[in-house]
Amino acid sequence: MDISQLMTRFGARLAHLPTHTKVLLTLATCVLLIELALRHFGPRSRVYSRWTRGIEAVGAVWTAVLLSIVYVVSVGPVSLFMTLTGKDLLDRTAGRDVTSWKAHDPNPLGPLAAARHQF
Amino acid sequence: MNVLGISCFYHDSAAALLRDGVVVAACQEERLSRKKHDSNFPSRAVKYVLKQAGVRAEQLDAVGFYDKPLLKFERMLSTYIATFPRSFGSFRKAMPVWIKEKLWVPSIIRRELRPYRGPILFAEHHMSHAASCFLVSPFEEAAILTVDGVGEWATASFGVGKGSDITLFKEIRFPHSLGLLYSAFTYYLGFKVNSAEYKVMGLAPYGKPVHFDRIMSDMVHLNEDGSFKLNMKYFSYDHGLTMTNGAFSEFFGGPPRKPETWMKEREFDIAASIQKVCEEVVLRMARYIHRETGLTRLCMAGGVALNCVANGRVIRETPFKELFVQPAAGDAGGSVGVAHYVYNTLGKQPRAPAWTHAYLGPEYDESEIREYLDGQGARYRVVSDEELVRETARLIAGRSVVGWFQGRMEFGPRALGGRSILADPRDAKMRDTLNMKIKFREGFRPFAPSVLADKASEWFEIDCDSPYMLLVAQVRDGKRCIPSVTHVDGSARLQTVTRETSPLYYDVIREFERLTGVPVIINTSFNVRGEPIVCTPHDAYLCFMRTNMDHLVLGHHLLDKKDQPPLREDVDWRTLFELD
Repeated sequence: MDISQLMTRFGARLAHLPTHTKVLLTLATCVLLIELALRHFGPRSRVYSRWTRGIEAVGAVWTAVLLSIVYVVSVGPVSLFMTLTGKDLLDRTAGRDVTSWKAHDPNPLGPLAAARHQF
Repeated sequence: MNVLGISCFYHDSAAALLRDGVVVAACQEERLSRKKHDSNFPSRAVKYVLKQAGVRAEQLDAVGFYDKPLLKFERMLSTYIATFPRSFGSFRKAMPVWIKEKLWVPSIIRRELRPYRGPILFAEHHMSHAASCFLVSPFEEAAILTVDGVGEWATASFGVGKGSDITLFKEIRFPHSLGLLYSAFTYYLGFKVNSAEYKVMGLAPYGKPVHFDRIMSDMVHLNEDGSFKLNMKYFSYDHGLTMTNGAFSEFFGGPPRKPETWMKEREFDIAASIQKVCEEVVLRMARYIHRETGLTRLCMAGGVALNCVANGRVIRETPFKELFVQPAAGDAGGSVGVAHYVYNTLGKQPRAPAWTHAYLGPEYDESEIREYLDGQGARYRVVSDEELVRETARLIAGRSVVGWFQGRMEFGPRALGGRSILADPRDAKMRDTLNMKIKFREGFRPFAPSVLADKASEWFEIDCDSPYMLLVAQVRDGKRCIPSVTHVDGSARLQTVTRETSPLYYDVIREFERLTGVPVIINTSFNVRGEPIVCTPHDAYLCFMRTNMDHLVLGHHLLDKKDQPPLREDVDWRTLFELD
């Protein structure tokens, strides 16, 4: 298969995409091209700094949206389970214990092997 | 063998380099980046320690990181689960930083230390603190107490060090934290958390601990052995973006004080109360550790170990006979701790001689200083050692304020005669002058004295050395002629100076004594409010020119403010440094 055939197949595929996907792809391509152009021709320009701030603002909104979903979907159910089973991961019971010192458990891997890990 | 220790990503990032078990260099990133409490990866500090040691990254044998990021992440997730849905704000703010940076510590270290290919080792946060104090202490065997805000899960721990080994026995776990309790009150009193806790300590003597009993009955459930639990209904640091909540405000009858507003008796009393709580907890912990270990020597580290009032009481009121506190007791000291842990404890290497000083930072020789001053068009006199000592002491005795820049910069939060501002403690007005015209800071804040070590017990109620300014003692009754370093309760946070560690500085104080009969001078850090302590001749000259300091001593160069041309390009320092 030569390059022209590949391009034709790729074009046909794009043509069959739904309209909203085409719009999103066009938008993403434009953002990428503008970013590359500004980075190449004016990395210290005021336009590029404004562009970066704008993109960062969009990124912050999307991060907030995605993290909200992650928080509700992942943290929420586990929290609910813990509440139902009466477990408190932070040991916040206000009872007057004789001591609140807990044993410092040495890592079962041994000191040197444990030091190679982040846990 | 070269071991690099790194602490970063929370506050006070730092790097330290050990060669064959001896700390060759250690430096906080803030001193080089000029951003107070800088938490970023300490690229500049790493570059400096490598240069000082004369090694390249690929010549390092090991790199140590001062905590276990994944255990910390586990604690964060557990906290979010336990406090759902109130933790949403904190989750949203913290997660991007974790995903982008804190979960990739090994990659970041390898990127920054390219082409280093050796091992990267991790120590628990409190193990790093424990190693930072015990392994550099003069003790062959000692009890160890570490207390801070929070590491992975532990907020306090104790154990025993013997030779090169350290065993931690027990710990108190998040959210029950003495450091965070103190920080919560710091926040409520309108000061910056993880930065201005020492201001609360300085404020305390102005008030009465009228809330002590209420705090101990409702907020802190303290056991006889010093362990405790906090009543979390008063705090929001476990889930929110603030330290305290409405219940806390209700407890003290009002909202948190707004920063920079006027302080009244209420704030003084609250500060006095939390200070007393802190001391009570630390004292009980120390007594318990003594009972458990039977040892009479104690090493302390962690942010709470910077509470020199509590430290002073530990040595006076517990069975411990000797105390060593790591001069960089906060997170910066973790870099030294993990490097020693890797070399001594994991590597089973014998310990090097104990620390006798904390001058581990950058140094600038006379030619570098001269070149800089000439470039600025500064007018100066080059003087000999004898003349420098004589002239500096004469200026101080004549009520001049002198910037003192000598040798290597100190490691840790205290200026100890390397980067200091010196003044006459006999002048009652000197405190206000320094606070208002030189440091531009709150008027209530006391100044610390440097005293000749051999005269310390004559002037202060102390019978041990305090080389790192980490002990508070009362000024003796017959010696109250030093009002500028005597706090309202008659106490002082003193530094004892010996000729062996700081010859020039010692001689200046001795000459001052010859002139005045007082072997004590004011020693405050060389900076303005919100600024990290000066590091380079450039930092020192700028600070000198922007404030009302009278003279500056840079190495053997003596500068008089009156002779100096105005700065060529100057900006208001308040726009450069965020007030702490």
